[in-house]
Amino acid sequence: MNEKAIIKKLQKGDLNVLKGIWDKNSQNVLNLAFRMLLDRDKAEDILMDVFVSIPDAIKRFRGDSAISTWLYTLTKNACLMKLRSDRCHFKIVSTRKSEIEEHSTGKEDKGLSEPDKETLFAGLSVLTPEIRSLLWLKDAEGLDIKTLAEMYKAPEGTLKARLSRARAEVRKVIEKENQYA
Amino acid sequence: MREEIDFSKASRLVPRKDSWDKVVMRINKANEQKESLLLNKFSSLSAAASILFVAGAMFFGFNSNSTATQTSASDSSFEYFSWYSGLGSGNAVSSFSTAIDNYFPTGG
Repeated sequence: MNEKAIIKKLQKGDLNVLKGIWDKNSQNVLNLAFRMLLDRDKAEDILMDVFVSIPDAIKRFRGDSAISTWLYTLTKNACLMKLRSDRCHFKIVSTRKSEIEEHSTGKEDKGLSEPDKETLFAGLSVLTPEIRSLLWLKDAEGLDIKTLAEMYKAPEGTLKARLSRARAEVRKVIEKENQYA
Repeated sequence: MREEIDFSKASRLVPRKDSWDKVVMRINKANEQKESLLLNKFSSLSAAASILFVAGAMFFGFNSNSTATQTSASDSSFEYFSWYSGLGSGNAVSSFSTAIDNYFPTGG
Protein backbone atom coordinates (compact mmCIF):
# COMPACT_ATOMS: atom_id res chain seq x y z
CA MET A 1 0.00 0.00 0.00
CA ASN A 2 1.45 3.38 -0.95
CA GLU A 3 1.54 6.32 1.45
CA LYS A 4 -1.39 8.17 -0.14
CA ALA A 5 -3.62 5.14 0.33
CA ILE A 6 -2.41 4.84 3.92
CA ILE A 7 -3.21 8.51 4.56
CA LYS A 8 -6.71 8.12 3.08
CA LYS A 9 -7.40 5.09 5.26
CA LEU A 10 -6.05 6.87 8.33
CA GLN A 11 -8.33 9.82 7.60
CA LYS A 12 -11.25 7.38 7.67
CA GLY A 13 -10.10 6.22 11.12
CA ASP A 14 -8.79 2.77 10.14
CA LEU A 15 -7.14 1.36 13.27
CA ASN A 16 -5.50 -1.55 11.41
CA VAL A 17 -3.52 0.90 9.30
CA LEU A 18 -2.61 2.82 12.43
CA LYS A 19 -1.35 -0.44 13.95
CA GLY A 20 0.87 -0.92 10.90
CA ILE A 21 2.33 2.53 11.41
CA TRP A 22 2.80 1.75 15.09
CA ASP A 23 4.74 -1.43 14.28
CA LYS A 24 6.96 0.40 11.83
CA ASN A 25 7.56 3.71 13.65
CA SER A 26 6.79 3.45 17.37
CA GLN A 27 10.40 2.60 18.28
CA ASN A 28 11.76 5.57 16.36
CA VAL A 29 9.21 7.91 17.95
CA LEU A 30 9.95 6.56 21.43
CA ASN A 31 13.70 6.92 21.01
CA LEU A 32 13.49 10.45 19.67
CA ALA A 33 11.23 11.41 22.59
CA PHE A 34 13.61 9.74 25.00
CA ARG A 35 16.61 11.61 23.55
CA MET A 36 14.77 14.88 23.98
CA LEU A 37 13.18 14.34 27.39
CA LEU A 38 15.78 11.99 28.91
CA ASP A 39 13.01 10.21 30.77
CA ARG A 40 11.61 6.82 29.83
CA ASP A 41 8.13 7.35 31.32
CA LYS A 42 7.69 10.76 29.76
CA ALA A 43 8.93 9.43 26.41
CA GLU A 44 6.38 6.63 26.62
CA ASP A 45 3.65 9.22 27.34
CA ILE A 46 4.73 11.25 24.32
CA LEU A 47 4.67 8.12 22.15
CA MET A 48 1.07 7.43 23.17
CA ASP A 49 0.06 11.11 22.83
CA VAL A 50 1.49 11.23 19.30
CA PHE A 51 -0.37 8.11 18.17
CA VAL A 52 -3.62 9.19 19.83
CA SER A 53 -3.38 12.53 18.02
CA ILE A 54 -2.82 10.91 14.59
CA PRO A 55 -6.54 10.40 13.65
CA ASP A 56 -7.15 14.14 14.07
CA ALA A 57 -3.76 15.41 12.89
CA ILE A 58 -3.84 13.33 9.69
CA LYS A 59 -6.79 15.43 8.48
CA ARG A 60 -4.43 18.42 8.28
CA PHE A 61 -1.54 16.43 6.78
CA ARG A 62 -1.16 17.18 3.06
CA GLY A 63 1.29 14.37 2.36
CA ASP A 64 4.18 16.68 1.45
CA SER A 65 6.63 14.54 3.41
CA ALA A 66 6.92 10.87 4.29
CA ILE A 67 4.71 9.66 7.15
CA SER A 68 7.80 8.78 9.19
CA THR A 69 9.15 12.33 8.81
CA TRP A 70 5.75 13.74 9.75
CA LEU A 71 5.74 11.54 12.85
CA TYR A 72 9.18 12.82 13.84
CA THR A 73 7.87 16.38 13.50
CA LEU A 74 4.82 15.57 15.66
CA THR A 75 7.09 13.96 18.23
CA LYS A 76 9.57 16.85 18.28
CA ASN A 77 6.78 19.39 18.71
CA ALA A 78 5.06 17.33 21.40
CA CYS A 79 8.36 17.04 23.31
CA LEU A 80 9.05 20.76 23.05
CA MET A 81 5.56 21.52 24.34
CA LYS A 82 6.05 19.07 27.18
CA LEU A 83 9.38 20.67 28.05
CA ARG A 84 7.84 24.14 27.96
CA SER A 85 5.01 23.07 30.23
CA ASP A 86 7.43 21.41 32.62
CA ARG A 87 9.80 24.40 32.37
CA CYS A 88 12.77 22.12 32.22
CA HIS A 89 14.99 23.26 29.38
CA PHE A 90 17.82 22.10 31.50
CA LYS A 91 21.36 20.98 31.44
CA ILE A 92 21.60 17.91 33.55
CA VAL A 93 23.76 18.48 36.58
CA SER A 94 26.56 15.98 36.47
CA THR A 95 25.85 14.75 40.00
CA ARG A 96 22.36 13.71 38.98
CA LYS A 97 23.49 12.11 35.74
CA SER A 98 23.80 8.52 36.94
CA GLU A 99 20.56 8.78 38.91
CA ILE A 100 18.67 9.89 35.80
CA GLU A 101 20.45 7.28 33.75
CA GLU A 102 19.23 4.52 36.08
CA HIS A 103 15.73 5.88 36.12
CA SER A 104 15.45 6.51 32.42
CA THR A 105 16.81 3.32 30.92
CA GLY A 106 15.00 0.10 31.58
CA LYS A 107 16.31 -3.26 32.71
CA GLU A 108 16.52 -4.42 29.10
CA ASP A 109 19.56 -2.25 28.37
CA LYS A 110 21.99 -4.12 30.65
CA GLY A 111 23.90 -5.72 27.78
CA LEU A 112 25.62 -2.51 26.66
CA SER A 113 28.99 -1.40 27.88
CA GLU A 114 28.21 1.05 30.67
CA PRO A 115 31.07 3.61 30.36
CA ASP A 116 30.41 4.20 26.66
CA LYS A 117 26.71 4.59 27.19
CA GLU A 118 27.24 6.87 30.15
CA THR A 119 29.73 9.14 28.45
CA LEU A 120 27.50 9.40 25.42
CA PHE A 121 24.56 10.23 27.66
CA ALA A 122 26.63 12.88 29.44
CA GLY A 123 27.77 14.30 26.13
CA LEU A 124 24.24 14.57 24.80
CA SER A 125 22.87 16.03 28.01
CA VAL A 126 24.86 19.26 27.60
CA LEU A 127 22.89 20.07 24.44
CA THR A 128 19.47 21.67 24.34
CA PRO A 129 16.60 19.24 23.66
CA GLU A 130 16.06 20.57 20.14
CA ILE A 131 19.73 20.25 19.14
CA ARG A 132 19.78 16.83 20.79
CA SER A 133 16.85 15.76 18.62
CA LEU A 134 18.58 17.16 15.53
CA LEU A 135 21.78 15.29 16.28
CA TRP A 136 19.89 12.08 17.05
CA LEU A 137 17.84 12.22 13.86
CA LYS A 138 20.92 12.92 11.72
CA ASP A 139 23.53 10.63 13.27
CA ALA A 140 21.45 7.83 14.80
CA GLU A 141 18.35 7.66 12.60
CA GLY A 142 20.20 8.68 9.44
CA LEU A 143 17.80 11.34 8.16
CA ASP A 144 19.21 13.46 5.34
CA ILE A 145 19.84 17.17 5.78
CA LYS A 146 17.09 18.13 3.30
CA THR A 147 14.42 16.33 5.33
CA LEU A 148 15.77 17.89 8.52
CA ALA A 149 15.63 21.33 6.91
CA GLU A 150 11.92 20.76 6.21
CA MET A 151 11.30 19.47 9.72
CA TYR A 152 13.14 22.25 11.53
CA LYS A 153 12.12 24.94 9.04
CA ALA A 154 15.71 26.15 8.77
CA PRO A 155 18.20 26.42 5.88
CA GLU A 156 20.44 23.42 5.32
CA GLY A 157 23.59 25.48 5.98
CA THR A 158 22.30 26.60 9.38
CA LEU A 159 21.50 23.02 10.35
CA LYS A 160 24.93 21.82 9.22
CA ALA A 161 26.58 24.49 11.36
CA ARG A 162 24.40 23.56 14.37
CA LEU A 163 25.21 19.90 13.91
CA SER A 164 28.91 20.60 13.68
CA ARG A 165 28.86 22.68 16.89
CA ALA A 166 26.77 20.03 18.66
CA ARG A 167 29.17 17.25 17.68
CA ALA A 168 32.12 19.30 18.90
CA GLU A 169 30.42 19.90 22.26
CA VAL A 170 29.52 16.24 22.67
CA ARG A 171 33.06 15.15 21.79
CA LYS A 172 34.52 17.61 24.28
CA VAL A 173 32.38 16.18 27.10
CA ILE A 174 33.14 12.61 26.08
CA GLU A 175 36.89 13.35 26.09
CA LYS A 176 36.66 14.88 29.55
CA GLU A 177 34.65 11.95 30.86
CA ASN A 178 37.21 9.55 29.44
CA GLN A 179 40.05 11.52 31.05
CA TYR A 180 38.36 11.29 34.48
CA ALA A 181 37.64 7.64 33.91
CA MET B 1 38.31 11.71 11.78
CA ARG B 2 34.72 10.53 11.47
CA GLU B 3 32.30 13.46 11.34
CA GLU B 4 29.21 11.80 12.85
CA ILE B 5 28.74 10.71 16.44
CA ASP B 6 28.58 6.94 16.83
CA PHE B 7 25.28 6.10 18.44
CA SER B 8 25.54 2.39 17.87
CA LYS B 9 26.26 1.81 21.57
CA ALA B 10 23.41 4.02 22.73
CA SER B 11 20.48 2.21 24.26
CA ARG B 12 17.54 1.75 21.91
CA LEU B 13 14.24 1.57 23.73
CA VAL B 14 11.31 -0.63 22.80
CA PRO B 15 7.72 0.49 23.55
CA ARG B 16 6.05 -1.25 26.47
CA LYS B 17 3.79 -4.16 25.60
CA ASP B 18 0.58 -2.51 26.77
CA SER B 19 1.24 0.85 25.07
CA TRP B 20 -0.65 0.02 21.87
CA ASP B 21 -3.70 -1.18 23.85
CA LYS B 22 -3.67 2.08 25.78
CA VAL B 23 -3.51 4.05 22.52
CA VAL B 24 -6.53 2.15 21.12
CA MET B 25 -8.43 2.66 24.37
CA ARG B 26 -7.76 6.42 24.32
CA ILE B 27 -8.75 6.73 20.64
CA ASN B 28 -12.01 4.85 21.25
CA LYS B 29 -12.74 6.99 24.29
CA ALA B 30 -12.09 10.17 22.28
CA ASN B 31 -14.44 8.92 19.54
CA GLU B 32 -17.15 8.16 22.09
CA GLN B 33 -16.75 11.63 23.56
CA LYS B 34 -17.02 13.16 20.09
CA GLU B 35 -20.22 11.18 19.41
CA SER B 36 -21.79 12.19 22.70
CA LEU B 37 -20.81 15.80 22.05
CA LEU B 38 -22.48 15.61 18.64
CA LEU B 39 -25.56 14.04 20.22
CA ASN B 40 -25.63 16.79 22.83
CA LYS B 41 -25.37 19.41 20.10
CA PHE B 42 -28.25 17.86 18.20
CA SER B 43 -30.42 17.52 21.29
CA SER B 44 -29.69 21.10 22.35
CA LEU B 45 -30.48 22.23 18.80
CA SER B 46 -33.76 20.35 18.80
CA ALA B 47 -34.56 21.73 22.28
CA ALA B 48 -33.83 25.25 21.06
CA ALA B 49 -36.00 24.66 17.98
CA SER B 50 -38.90 23.36 20.08
CA ILE B 51 -38.57 26.31 22.47
CA LEU B 52 -38.66 28.66 19.49
CA PHE B 53 -41.66 26.82 18.10
CA VAL B 54 -43.54 27.00 21.41
CA ALA B 55 -42.59 30.65 21.85
CA GLY B 56 -43.77 31.42 18.32
CA ALA B 57 -46.98 29.51 18.83
CA MET B 58 -47.61 31.34 22.12
CA PHE B 59 -46.88 34.69 20.51
CA PHE B 60 -49.26 34.12 17.63
CA GLY B 61 -51.75 32.47 19.99
CA PHE B 62 -51.78 35.52 22.27
CA ASN B 63 -52.16 37.80 19.29
CA SER B 64 -55.16 35.89 17.96
CA ASN B 65 -56.66 35.75 21.50
CA SER B 66 -56.37 39.49 21.91
CA THR B 67 -58.12 39.93 18.53
CA ALA B 68 -60.87 37.62 19.68
CA THR B 69 -61.17 39.52 22.96
CA GLN B 70 -61.30 42.74 21.04
CA THR B 71 -64.01 41.32 18.76
CA SER B 72 -66.06 39.99 21.64
CA ALA B 73 -65.58 43.26 23.48
CA SER B 74 -66.75 45.16 20.46
CA ASP B 75 -69.62 42.70 20.05
CA SER B 76 -70.73 43.12 23.64
CA SER B 77 -70.45 46.90 23.44
CA PHE B 78 -72.56 46.75 20.28
CA GLU B 79 -75.08 44.61 22.19
CA TYR B 80 -75.16 47.06 25.09
CA PHE B 81 -75.50 49.93 22.69
CA SER B 82 -78.37 48.30 20.82
CA TRP B 83 -80.06 47.33 24.09
CA TYR B 84 -79.76 50.82 25.52
CA SER B 85 -80.87 52.37 22.26
CA GLY B 86 -83.81 49.98 22.13
CA LEU B 87 -85.03 50.94 25.60
CA GLY B 88 -88.58 52.24 25.43
CA SER B 89 -89.05 51.00 21.92
CA GLY B 90 -90.59 47.70 22.95
CA ASN B 91 -87.82 45.70 21.30
CA ALA B 92 -85.94 45.72 24.53
CA VAL B 93 -88.92 44.25 26.35
CA SER B 94 -89.26 41.46 23.89
CA SER B 95 -85.64 40.53 24.19
CA PHE B 96 -85.38 40.96 27.99
CA SER B 97 -88.95 40.14 28.86
CA THR B 98 -89.95 39.03 32.30
CA ALA B 99 -93.34 37.82 33.52
CA ILE B 100 -94.21 41.31 34.82
CA ASP B 101 -93.12 42.88 31.52
CA ASN B 102 -95.40 40.51 29.70
CA TYR B 103 -98.33 41.46 31.91
CA PHE B 104 -97.62 45.15 31.84
CA PRO B 105 -95.97 45.78 28.53
CA THR B 106 -94.38 49.18 28.13
CA GLY B 107 -94.34 51.03 24.86
CA GLY B 108 -96.17 50.29 21.65
